[in-house]
Amino acid sequence: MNRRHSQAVGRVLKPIIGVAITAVMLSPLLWMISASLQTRTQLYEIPAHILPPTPTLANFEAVISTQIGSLGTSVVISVATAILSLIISVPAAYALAQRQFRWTGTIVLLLLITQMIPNVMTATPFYLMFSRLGLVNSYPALVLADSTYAVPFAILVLRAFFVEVPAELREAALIDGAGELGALLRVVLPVVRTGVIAVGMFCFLFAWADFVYALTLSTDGSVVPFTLSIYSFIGAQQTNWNELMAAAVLGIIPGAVLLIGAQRYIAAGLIGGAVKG
Amino acid sequence: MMSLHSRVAIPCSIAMAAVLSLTLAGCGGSSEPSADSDGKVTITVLDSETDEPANSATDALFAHCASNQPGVTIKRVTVPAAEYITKAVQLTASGEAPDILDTDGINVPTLAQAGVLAPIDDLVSSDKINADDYDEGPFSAGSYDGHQYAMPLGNNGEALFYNKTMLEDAGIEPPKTWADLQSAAQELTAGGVYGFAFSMQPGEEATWNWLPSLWSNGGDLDEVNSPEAVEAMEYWTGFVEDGVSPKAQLNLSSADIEPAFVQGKYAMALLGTWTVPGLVKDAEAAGMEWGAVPQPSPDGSPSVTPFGGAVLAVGAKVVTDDAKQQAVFDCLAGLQDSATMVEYADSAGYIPSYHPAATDFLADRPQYQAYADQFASSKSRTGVVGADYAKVSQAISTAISEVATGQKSAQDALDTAQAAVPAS
Amino acid sequence: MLSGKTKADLGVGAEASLTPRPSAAPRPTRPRAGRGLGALRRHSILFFLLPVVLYLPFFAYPIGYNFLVSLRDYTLSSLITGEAPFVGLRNLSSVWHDPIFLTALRNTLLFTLLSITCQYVIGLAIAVFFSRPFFLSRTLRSVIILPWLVPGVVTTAAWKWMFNESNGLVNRLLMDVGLDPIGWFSTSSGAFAAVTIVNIWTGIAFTVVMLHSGLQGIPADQYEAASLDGAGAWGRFWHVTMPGLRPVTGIVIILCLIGTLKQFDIVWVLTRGGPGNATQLLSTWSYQLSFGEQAFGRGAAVGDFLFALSLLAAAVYAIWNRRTTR
Repeated sequence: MNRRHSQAVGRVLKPIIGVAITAVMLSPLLWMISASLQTRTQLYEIPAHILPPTPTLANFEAVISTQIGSLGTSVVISVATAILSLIISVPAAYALAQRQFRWTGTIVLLLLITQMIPNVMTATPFYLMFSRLGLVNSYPALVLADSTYAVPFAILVLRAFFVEVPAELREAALIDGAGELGALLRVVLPVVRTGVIAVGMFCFLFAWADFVYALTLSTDGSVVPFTLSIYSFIGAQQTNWNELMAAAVLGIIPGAVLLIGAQRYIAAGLIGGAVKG
Repeated sequence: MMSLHSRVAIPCSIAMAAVLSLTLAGCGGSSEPSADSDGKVTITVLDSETDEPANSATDALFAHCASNQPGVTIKRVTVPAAEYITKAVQLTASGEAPDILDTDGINVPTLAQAGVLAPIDDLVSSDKINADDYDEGPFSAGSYDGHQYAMPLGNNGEALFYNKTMLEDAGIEPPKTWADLQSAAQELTAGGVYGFAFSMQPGEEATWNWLPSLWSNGGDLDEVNSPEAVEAMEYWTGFVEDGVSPKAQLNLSSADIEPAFVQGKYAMALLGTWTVPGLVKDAEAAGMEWGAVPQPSPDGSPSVTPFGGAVLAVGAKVVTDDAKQQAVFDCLAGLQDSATMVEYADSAGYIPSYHPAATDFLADRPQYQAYADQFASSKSRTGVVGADYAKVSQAISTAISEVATGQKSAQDALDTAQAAVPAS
Repeated sequence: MLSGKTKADLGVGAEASLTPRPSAAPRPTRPRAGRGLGALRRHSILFFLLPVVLYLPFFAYPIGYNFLVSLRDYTLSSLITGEAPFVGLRNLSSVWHDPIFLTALRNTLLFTLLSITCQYVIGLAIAVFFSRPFFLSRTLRSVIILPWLVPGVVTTAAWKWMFNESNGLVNRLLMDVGLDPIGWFSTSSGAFAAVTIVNIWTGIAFTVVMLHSGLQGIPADQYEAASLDGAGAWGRFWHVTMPGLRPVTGIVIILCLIGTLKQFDIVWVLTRGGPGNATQLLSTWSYQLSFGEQAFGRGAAVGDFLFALSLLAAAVYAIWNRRTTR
């Protein structure tokens, strides 16, 4: 098989394999969409229906009014978490990247340690802490708690990005009279812009998926994120799978919008044009 | 809040209570009279009826208290069932103790032991509430350590449902004894149909479905590795080992089994009270005919089944406030009204615990008769082991799936489970 | 952690870095530590750590709390009375001697090892596959991380349905291609496989994104140089790709490791640790003790062991990191 021939085969095969891989990865989501269009009875039929036999939007009609508000709440909490996490982690990651402090390893380790206890176990102490601060049932409580998921991750990843930035760039900025903050904001940050945005998006997702803190820190129904509101479909005796799945599909939408918007940042990778090559 | 939580249970909020205990314990002791000058009283009800229509049914139920007694207002606090205990303790610790606790009977010993409940011995020995109006099993579910803490509200249970057409075609009578059930299940298993399906889902549901076998065979929870218990375990897991019950039931709830039963995948099934409204509807749509009988016992005598259902208990602080105590007791006593109870039970998915209401309820709803037949010989799960029931139940559930999956023999698995039983 | 002196230095440093200084313009090309302005700058960078230091209580408190509870006989009544007698190491010893401990430890280790290996290998394969542009590659690569946007509680519920032995999709597809259905939740190995598969799946999106980002950072000329030296596809992969990915690999593995060690939701929703204790992990057992049996002290003690295990993993990572970066 000559080279050109194999390239042509690759051109055809690669998209097909790519679609297949993606389909496998997305199968639970595809199934959720299919299930959200079926009736409860159809869901229990054997063998399972891969496609809805008689697609219906009834499930969506049943859940849409109750879910919109909580989706909004989740967006607010997640965006705030992403911003707070970046404010905390960007300078820290920068500092840890610039200087190999004797205790860099210790700091990184300390941050990792905090991530090692299951959230179900840390939720109680958080409740204690926030009730002393008078923050239970408030947005700040969830943002602060959720950002503990995100900050250690963000520092670790951002530090790796910052380490890759050529030292000359920062030094040139310092020579030009910029302080460290100036060097960070005006020179280094733009270089790793895509990385920062990607990390911010990850932080958003950590908060988006949180269930345990929402359940614990929100007790009176005044702040109800999406994960908590979806819980109401899981009844004491039986779960309304069809409606649960419809609500879950609605919940994909904000994420999908975000994904499309941030696509080029995720794809762009580590280092932007300035220092490439 | 019925007896089982077959939900996809998610870690719940933990002992947030812990929290409050540190900060607030000891500051909730005040007992100012709750009634102000014009005799207004607010009764707080803590329940776990999060889903409809049980939620509205609970609203309507307690609305009777308000309409029966001028000046009384009801405030409901509804929490997910899995969080009920911690929430009740948390509220009590923080000085916002609930006055009436509408909860699963299984929670009574734990709540009583933690100091959340007040005994209502005076109320049940008065003429306002008469123990004779209730089955003994359900009523005893409200007692702990020699005191009565709760009165039963609605009963539930599991009964044996069968596909009429399949049994008639095979010429089989509905089973009454263990041997009947075993042979019927064998004969009916063919061509992709399983003879008998029942939930073995890890957790309370697995244990609760096995208890009738244990009790009817003469065993009890104080010695879960007795010869009677081992025999009951071998009988129960034998259905799976023999292939007459689907292996899938190791992770199916009773609510998951109902639709497949209607579709004819199972000839017989053990189904909970709460699945009956769905069953009636699905069977009618599918043109399927079913019947129901009480659970079989070793020799055909009445099977001893666990009482499941909701009870009403009274918060610990109520008794320190005369006006409130009066209002709460009157509220509970006033709910013993047939029309009120039937209306509630119908929507909330129970059979009324109060006898006169149960009679009226069953007159129009023969589909529940098989359950009702079992209540007279039903037993409280917490009677022997009290507040340790959760631990013992977990150990039994583990043993059931260990035996059903062939990891251990019935004797070995139950010997391990016995370690969870408190020494008496 | 910071001494008073260091804090003072931070203050000065902060000022120094925030104020533009024209006088600083003629500087040596390489600022040297410990001398004049260089010293100020050296310390000014510490200021950047201030936000995270202020934030540390939010990290430290839950851990400290959990540890203290594990030393006490903490029950439901403790919540109301506030009394929880100090029992020293009794909780730790009690769970250590519990037969479930070994099972849970073994399951946790196996679950973690399998998950990390598969997440990394599959994630790397997908990232490499999508690294060279082809028709639809950008779109597919973006879409592939969609699962991450759905809360895990929900996707796991969907998986539970898909693995259902009688009316689930997975067994239906197996039978469609002529294979026997698998007892996903009715056999020990099936249940263990199911929870592991779902956990692997959950981590792949993250791994792909991270590794893809790492791949983009490898300069193209390194590949060209390797090709000129006669390296084939495999040669380039081993000698250019893998070394180039090393920093990202470290982060990916440690984060997946920690995520997997403390994994709870997936197992709880799918199997609750069953059948038997076939999928019991330290995390699920800890939850079961604390909130199923209200034995908060023993539950926290299991948490301590889990924590020690994670600490060990983090230490290994730190050593590995020092070796490879310096």
